Amino acid sequence: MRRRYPPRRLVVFAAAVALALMLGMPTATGAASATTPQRSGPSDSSRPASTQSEVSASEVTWNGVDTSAASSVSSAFTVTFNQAVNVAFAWNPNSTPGVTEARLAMLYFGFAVSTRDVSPIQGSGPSSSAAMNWTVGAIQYVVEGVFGLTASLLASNGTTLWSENFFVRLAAPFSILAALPLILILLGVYELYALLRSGRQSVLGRSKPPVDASPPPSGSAPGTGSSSTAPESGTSPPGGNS
Amino acid sequence: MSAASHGAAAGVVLGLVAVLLAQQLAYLDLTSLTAAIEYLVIGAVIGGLLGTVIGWALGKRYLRLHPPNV
Repeated sequence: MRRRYPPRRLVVFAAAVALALMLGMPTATGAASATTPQRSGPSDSSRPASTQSEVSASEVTWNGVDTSAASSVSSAFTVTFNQAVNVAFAWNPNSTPGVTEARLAMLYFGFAVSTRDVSPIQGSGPSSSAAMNWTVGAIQYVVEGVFGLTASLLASNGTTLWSENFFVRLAAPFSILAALPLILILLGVYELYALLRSGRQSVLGRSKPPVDASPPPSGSAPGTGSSSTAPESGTSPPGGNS
Repeated sequence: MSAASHGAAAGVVLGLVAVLLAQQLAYLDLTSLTAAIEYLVIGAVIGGLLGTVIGWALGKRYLRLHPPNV
């Protein structure tokens, strides 16, 4: 039988921790956005990089900015909720021949959770390009945070001819309204409550043995005949009640 | 289940939650599988050790405040 104790103080503590986490999230968002350069200007976003000049090597632009500028977590591109991003691939067919497909994949735990392909390739001269209007998709309701993206140029047989990794930071509404962080916060609060009430588990193994350790009342006298009548009488054994 | 093991179980889960929540708050990068598993294992071990110590200490305190009737 489990005892019930008023967990008022623990509930207040858990609520305080949850409140502190919720207040800390906009601070973290602000810190991340403060270190992230503002690259989401719409003016140069619809222009593929290949139309500017001849491309000497392969490159990918994210709203007009080269993705090599976001090669670390601290310099990740910020993607707001429901934001569409113009991603432009540009390469020189002489240095990277045989490109038939451009791909942008978002990775989480090493697996691609979101993949977009663009097959029509424009241009065949000194520079070729491919553009896509990239959105996070339905996964933005589930996760947020920093994710790695891999932009790659593929051949017709699926071989990766060129690739580049960069980072983006997905933002949820009010920095919290995604499913996974909400579940993690609730789980963390519950486990914190379970950790704080773990001290009560220490009494469980100590209160039961004195009750169950009473010796059987009739086992010591087998020849008296009382052992056959005692269990059928329905009375409680001596010493069984505390 | 003793207080220390109960605290260890809660601490392991808290360590895993802390790592995943840090990624969601843009403090950690869990893109690579190897690095992600390393972070999770480190978080679980540290959380388990801290949970064991906290559970053991809370068990001692509870028994001191609520001595069992022998």
